Amino acid sequence: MTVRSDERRYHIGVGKGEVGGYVVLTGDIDRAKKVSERFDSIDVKASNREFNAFTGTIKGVKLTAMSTGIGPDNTEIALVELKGVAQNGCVIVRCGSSGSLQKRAEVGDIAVSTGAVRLEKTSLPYAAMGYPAMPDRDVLSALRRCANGRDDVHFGLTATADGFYAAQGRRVHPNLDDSVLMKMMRLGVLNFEMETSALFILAHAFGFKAGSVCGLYANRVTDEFASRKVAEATDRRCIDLVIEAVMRMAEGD
Amino acid sequence: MDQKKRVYHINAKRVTENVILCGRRSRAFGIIKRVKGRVLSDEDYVLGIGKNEGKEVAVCSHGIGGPSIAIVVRELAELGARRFVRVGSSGALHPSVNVGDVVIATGAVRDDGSEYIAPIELPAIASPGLVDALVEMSKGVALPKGSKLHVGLVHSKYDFFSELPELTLDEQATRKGWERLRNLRVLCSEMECGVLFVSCIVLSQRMKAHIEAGALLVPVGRVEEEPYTSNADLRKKAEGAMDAAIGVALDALTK
Repeated sequence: MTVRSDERRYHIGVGKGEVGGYVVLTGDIDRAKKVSERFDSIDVKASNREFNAFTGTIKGVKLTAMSTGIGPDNTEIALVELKGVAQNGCVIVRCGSSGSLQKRAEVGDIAVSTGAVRLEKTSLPYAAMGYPAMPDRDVLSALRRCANGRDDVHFGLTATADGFYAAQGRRVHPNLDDSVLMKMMRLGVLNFEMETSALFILAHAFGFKAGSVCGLYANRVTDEFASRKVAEATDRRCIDLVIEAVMRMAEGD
Repeated sequence: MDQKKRVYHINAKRVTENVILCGRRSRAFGIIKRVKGRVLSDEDYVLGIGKNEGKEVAVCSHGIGGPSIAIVVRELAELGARRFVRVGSSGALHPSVNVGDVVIATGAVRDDGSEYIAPIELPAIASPGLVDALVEMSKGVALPKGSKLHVGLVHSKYDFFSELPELTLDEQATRKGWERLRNLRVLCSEMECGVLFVSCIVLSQRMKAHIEAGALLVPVGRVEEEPYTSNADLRKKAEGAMDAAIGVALDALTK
């Protein structure tokens, strides 16, 4: 297996006992750090390439904030390596960013995934196409209770692509078109990003309980993009929501 | 738009928002009787409307397989249906599932030809709210002795006889396929949930409505062994489980 001689996992750099029962998975290294700033104490830090992990506690609940960089392939590395060091049934909630495909889901709002459209290929060897990429019922239910009554949190399908430009219908070359974007909009898909379907499939395969929450940094209908200030504020509210949901689950609510 | 022109196989002018679906015509007649309903249409499909807990509920048979249930769901949605619960039989797949258990489907693996309805990458998911209601209502219902309740993924297939790998073109590949599904904790296999769930996602979008779907399945045999058990006691257990499942479905739709 991919355990190094010091018993720490090959890429993610953490070992047994160094991962909490609740993992907040981000793409952005900086966002993982921001999550860890909410901890009452930080007991473990590991850093290797885009994988940065912080393990600590909030009110006695042990959490890990971990970044994986961009893309489903990195998400796979994190999940496979967590398999050996995280407890069975570990809750993994993605706290990411994405682009909105619906006019009503505005820049600065939050998207919670009720399922994911598998446009990536990383998860295919585990589960053939046709297998549904879905969040865990308990995690989704906790997120739903936390978002109750809020009009800035949207629930819907998330399309997961394995690229940022061509794979998400951005016409950065004459050979490209926006047909995938149009197709996702026609299906009523809420947001476009690069990790969720791989997370859902692998989490289910390995016996983890996953959820996915993404800030909306852009709106592909109106072509708006978040300013740095709006993006930072969105990140804060995403982290608030994820941590609130995690604490609710930890407290048995 | 004249709605009549979009409904070709069901002879009714309207249905209730809540619909319980089942494959067999005989089961539909039985449920219509149970809800003291009257039969509205008896052509390709049996449709009736009755009451449970003082609230109207429609009952409709959907035949076997994806293409058939796709017709029923679309036409009933045109007639006003907004919440569907399928109750049906299935083959036990995961070792934790036995004949006569009850499985509440959270989603379905699409091995069913439903890519003709929506891209295959789209997840066939049951409506979380309806799944929660089914789980909640199942707590108050007595299952037959030894019958267990499961909540999880099911498998929807195109080819009924793939349950008997020796009848397929490539027996080893078919067996390998079942093994892979077991490794992903897929509980049982049937033929309609994938199309039901995907249709409701597509119809919600096309009709700008909130159309929900859920399903309760009772294994009546075991995949790779026998599609319908030959054991009389197990058959009785499965019948009891089906009665209980129908009760859960009716309560989740009307309570």
